[in-house]
Amino acid sequence: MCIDGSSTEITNLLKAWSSGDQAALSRLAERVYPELRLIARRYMKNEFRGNTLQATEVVHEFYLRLVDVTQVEFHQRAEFFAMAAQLMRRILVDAARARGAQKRGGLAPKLNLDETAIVSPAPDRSILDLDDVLTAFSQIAPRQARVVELRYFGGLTEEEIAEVMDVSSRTVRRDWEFARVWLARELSHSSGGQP
Amino acid sequence: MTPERLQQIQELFHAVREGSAEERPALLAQADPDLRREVESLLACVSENLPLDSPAVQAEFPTVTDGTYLGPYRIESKLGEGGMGEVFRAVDTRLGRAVAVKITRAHFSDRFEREARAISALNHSNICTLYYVGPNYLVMELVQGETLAALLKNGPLPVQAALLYGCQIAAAVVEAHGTGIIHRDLKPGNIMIGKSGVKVLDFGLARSDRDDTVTGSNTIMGTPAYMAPEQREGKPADARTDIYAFGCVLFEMLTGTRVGPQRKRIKSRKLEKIVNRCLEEDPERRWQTVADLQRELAGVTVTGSRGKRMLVAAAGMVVLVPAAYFCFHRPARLTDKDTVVLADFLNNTGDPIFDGTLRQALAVQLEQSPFLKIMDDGQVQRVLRLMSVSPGAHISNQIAQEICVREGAAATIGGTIATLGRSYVITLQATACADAATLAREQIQAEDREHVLNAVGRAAMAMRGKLGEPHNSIQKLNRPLEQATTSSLEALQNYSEAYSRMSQGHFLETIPLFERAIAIDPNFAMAYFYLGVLYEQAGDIARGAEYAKQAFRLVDRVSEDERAQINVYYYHANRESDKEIDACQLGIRKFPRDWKFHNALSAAFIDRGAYEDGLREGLEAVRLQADVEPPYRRVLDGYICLDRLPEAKQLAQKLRELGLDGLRIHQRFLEMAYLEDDQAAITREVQWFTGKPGEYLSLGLQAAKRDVHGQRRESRGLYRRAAETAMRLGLRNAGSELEEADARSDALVGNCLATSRLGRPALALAMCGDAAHAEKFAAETSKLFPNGTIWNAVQLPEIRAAIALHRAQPARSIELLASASPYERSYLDAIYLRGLAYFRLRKGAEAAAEFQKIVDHKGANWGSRWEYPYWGQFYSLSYLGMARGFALTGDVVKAKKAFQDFFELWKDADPDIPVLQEAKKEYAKLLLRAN
Repeated sequence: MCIDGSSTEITNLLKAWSSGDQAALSRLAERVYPELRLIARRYMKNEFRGNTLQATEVVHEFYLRLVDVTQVEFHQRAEFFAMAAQLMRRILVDAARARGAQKRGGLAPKLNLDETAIVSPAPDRSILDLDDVLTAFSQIAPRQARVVELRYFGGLTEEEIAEVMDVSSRTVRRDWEFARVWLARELSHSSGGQP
Repeated sequence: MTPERLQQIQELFHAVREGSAEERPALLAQADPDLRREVESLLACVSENLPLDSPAVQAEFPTVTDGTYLGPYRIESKLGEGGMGEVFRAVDTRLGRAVAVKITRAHFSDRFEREARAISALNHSNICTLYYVGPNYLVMELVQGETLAALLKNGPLPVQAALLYGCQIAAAVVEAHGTGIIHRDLKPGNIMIGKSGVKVLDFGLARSDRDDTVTGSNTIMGTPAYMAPEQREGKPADARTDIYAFGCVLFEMLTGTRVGPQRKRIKSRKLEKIVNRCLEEDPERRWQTVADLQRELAGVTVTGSRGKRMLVAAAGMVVLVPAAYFCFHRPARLTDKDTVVLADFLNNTGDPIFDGTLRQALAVQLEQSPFLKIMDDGQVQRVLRLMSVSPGAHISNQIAQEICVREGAAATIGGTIATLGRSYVITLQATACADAATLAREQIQAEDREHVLNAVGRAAMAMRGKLGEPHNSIQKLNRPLEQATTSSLEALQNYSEAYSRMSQGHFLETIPLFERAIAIDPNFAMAYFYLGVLYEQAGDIARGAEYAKQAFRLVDRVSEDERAQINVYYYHANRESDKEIDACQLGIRKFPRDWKFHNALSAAFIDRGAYEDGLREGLEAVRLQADVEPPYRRVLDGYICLDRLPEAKQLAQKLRELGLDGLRIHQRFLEMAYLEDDQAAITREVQWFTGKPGEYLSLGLQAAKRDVHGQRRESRGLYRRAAETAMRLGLRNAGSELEEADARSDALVGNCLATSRLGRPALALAMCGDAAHAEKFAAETSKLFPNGTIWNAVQLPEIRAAIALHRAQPARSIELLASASPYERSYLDAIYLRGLAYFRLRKGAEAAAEFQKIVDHKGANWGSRWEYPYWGQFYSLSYLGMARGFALTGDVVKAKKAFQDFFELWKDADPDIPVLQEAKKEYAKLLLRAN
């Protein structure tokens, strides 16, 4: 696929974005999404070979790959990470949706399968629910929601988030703590009263 | 809500969380009611298991496809999806074994990993085994079959089937509850019905509200229809929660419908009562343990009217089938009459420390079982010789199998160890010899090298259960390996090496290895034990006793079986014969199948002159272990001492046919040959010893035989050679015993020069009138063995009796020797001294009677005390004693006869022996008087 020598479009988008064209970012995201997904998948497989997966690594590798291919210098690293985290979120949500569809047409379980256990919301629901709840949360708490996105979907550390968002680590930590509790409460409402 | 309001909420939230317990109420009280409610509802959500614990990519990318590797597991195909995640069929590439892999969407919590370790220790034929817990996946036994849920779609089960499955499910639950694991989500969907019966899946994997085990997420994974009321209320689950679910399952099997408000009736009253009690709302009113429930089920007898489809009916069983058959009948794997051959581990780690070590560890662990009988290493070595396999060779599974078949054993147990990153995977497998069928298999993982021994121990314990050992026996006799032996691999390595060489017949060279083992682990009881035995054998009695003491000090750490052995040896080393016998008998009670305790008891009895008891125990030891030589020595000793020579000879013939050989066996053969003066046999046996390191035994016996015929000069030469040969081998004790035998012989025939030159033993010195030195030696020995049974009752009194005799206090001698009477059949010196004392008292008849005892039991003269060369020493001289006794009574005929017997024995004696010259004079006098 996608980011190769011919990807002048990506290069151009990156250049446009790094020189301040915000509209370029969303088009860029569309374009690099498959690449990020591939990297993420490969990391996933590696994880099963014993390495611990770090979403950070996925994003960092993605970043390096973009730089490598496009020779574009990113001045707005922070923006880039924010974009990557957003993209990861989308990748995951899409994947969950796809799996849900697959499941509906799914396999007849034969072995080791607990066929009646799926009374609780399918775990795939959890990421979709989270997506919903997080979207709502970002309306009233944009900074806190962004911390969640960067940390949970982007895999960034507290320090990286502080750098990216230009706030103190303490703020990041407190936002994270608070957001998790908030989201936990909202999630328990959205899937509440289970089963 | 506005961002500003949210900011307020967050501020108060942090303030309250960071505030102390006292400040909190005040902080909340200050806030307006809405704000307060908002923050309180958030605070209620604070828990250890908040969402978003690990980054999303980790949790949300189950993009496993065919051919993906998870560690050593290669994914083959997807089997389906369950509440926890996806399930795949996979292959454990190290073992080529098909497994099921369940991949969850989130990483497991630390807590779950801890619990999973307990779950993976569950081993039961009705539980789907959890092999391994990865960061977000579980590897488990692949079970082929259908779920009970699927089966129930066709309606209720025949009542026998319901009972059969019910009992198997209960058995699985009993096993889990026994280790503190609650299923929490027992239901037909979690129960597989396979070829070999029920397998319950997912033990302990479900979570309850409070008690979240698998994932960090807050979803409830139970299944409402089978949930106990307390579980629905979010209370913690306990054993009774599973009992409720079990009741639901049993109900559904019997009626084909789920438990609901309107329950169908169950036909069997008894079953209905059982089910109803499972389904009580109040846990207190249910069955309190599954074991109770299981017993109750076992009491149910059902008629087979509906059971035509059932396997039991099909198998032609009678119509009335007590459920106990289902509940407690498990296919017998091994019985307690079977023997098992241990193979060496296949070491795939490249780390030589595991060579030999793990087999030893496994042996120690399995030998704790009174149920399993592990083939003796001596026997294994003997068969290896027959198979022309070199003695130290790696005993592969194939070789073990061959040994097993040759020796008519039941099964082999072998193992493999392989690395997996830093951790180790240990697999044990028991294979039937008859058809090479797998009887049981056990895999366990050790997190690192230090935990390997522990893992082997646990695997061995699980194996015992799988092979059919009753649960209570395993529980009672299962000391963790690191306590039973050592926690140090290095120490165990030295120990194993030493042990293996010992069973190949090398003894002294193993001492440094055992010493290294205790240097590494100063608490290694069994290493002290063997060091004690070895030093004692080598003649360093003091050191032997010291090591016995060290082993005894650590006796609480070792396994039952080893403790029993150490106790026996400790009392043996301390010469506390009474306690030694008690310890043997205790060992026999605990390990009735272990020949060693019978063997030790036999030796102890024979040493005390209780020949009949000794023979009986020896025969029992042979019955239990017919393939090693020590028990045969006991039996031979018994026959020899009881003058049952024909039986001894018959046994000797059998041993030759069996190919059972050994130094000490041939010692008996030579004793027997001398007893009968069988020249051909003497030549053959002496020839056997020639050039062997054990030749000192043959030389000693040859010396003793010369003594019997008064050939002191030749005898002395042979004793010296015997002593030197023993010393050269480092057998100091044997060497000095032989020297002492020589000195004693001199003293007995009235030549005290040799005795005073050697300066020992105490008895010879006493007989020669050196009371001071005799007492000094006696005091030293008393210090060494203050409670020595034989020492205090026999040997010390003998020395004192000899001193008294020399001081012309014969009555005192007789008094002193009274305590020796119970043991004197083995201590002919005591009888001999008593005879001398009566003679001094001018009691001729009594004196003759004592000496008569000695000549009447010719066998005991050779066979009574194998450890010490007292061979034949008193035999000929007792004829002289009898002659003198009869002469004193005036019974010239008997006296003459005894003199002639003596002279016949001494016809080629050295002419200058003082006692012979005196005897000749006395005989001449007798003849004069008679004429």
